[in-house]
Amino acid sequence: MEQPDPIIHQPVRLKIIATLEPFPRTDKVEFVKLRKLVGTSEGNLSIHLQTLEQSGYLTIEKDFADNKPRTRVKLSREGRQAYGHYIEFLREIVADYRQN
Amino acid sequence: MLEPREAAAILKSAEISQRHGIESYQYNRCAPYLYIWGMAWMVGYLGCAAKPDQFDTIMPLAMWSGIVASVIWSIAGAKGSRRLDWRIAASFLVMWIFTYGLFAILPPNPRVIAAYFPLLFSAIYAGVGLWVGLRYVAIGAGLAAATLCGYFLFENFFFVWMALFGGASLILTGFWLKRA
Repeated sequence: MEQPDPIIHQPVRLKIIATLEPFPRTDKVEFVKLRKLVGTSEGNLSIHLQTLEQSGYLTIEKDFADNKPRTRVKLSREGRQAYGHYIEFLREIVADYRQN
Repeated sequence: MLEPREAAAILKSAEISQRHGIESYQYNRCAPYLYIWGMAWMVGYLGCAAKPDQFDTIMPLAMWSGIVASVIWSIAGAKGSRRLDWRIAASFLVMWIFTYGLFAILPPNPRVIAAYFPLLFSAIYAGVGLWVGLRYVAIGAGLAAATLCGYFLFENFFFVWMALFGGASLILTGFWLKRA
């Protein structure tokens, strides 16, 4: 039996990826905005973003805007694919249950 | 092994997060259009307040400037987007045809025209907001209230009122959406 992707199969990381998914591939979302959308603490978000970055599911870009440090994240193609597979995996479980 | 009930709950959670992402993305996309229209209305209404006899020239000029700027922005912003932005240009065309048709059967005066456009946009924002996000409904309601308030209560200062409460409030709500 197929197992869920362990990287995405974690509530906060799933929220991060699901929130970023609707943004176009070229769009980067600011850390502050993402924290508000995901509804988690700064530290918690940072930890999960690092895990997702290490897995190649998103890229983190740090720069300066108006002399203030700015962190922006972007979902990678691998991240989009992994999210798509994960959702499909869940849908199959639900569909199988309904059929039986 | 994941239980079906657990899988359904996770799907629901993902759907909610995705919805937040869609709303934020849509709000961000809309913000520049509010800056454009806020500026067009502010300049247009202030121009009409300064030279009321030039209304027939100033107002169409302001409206067309807003339309052209919106279309240019939508074309420029379409890069990397998966949305079909030609629909924005087509929507303006539909509105324009509707407006000309309406004015042909119900000939308006300058004050009615000046109130008509904000009310039209209010209805569009509120209608779109029912699908896209409640902030649009709030913008539509606020804009309609300000327009009707100015139209009925401040007849002598209507153009100035619309420049400040129509134009400026659109620009401010653009910033509000940008932060969403």
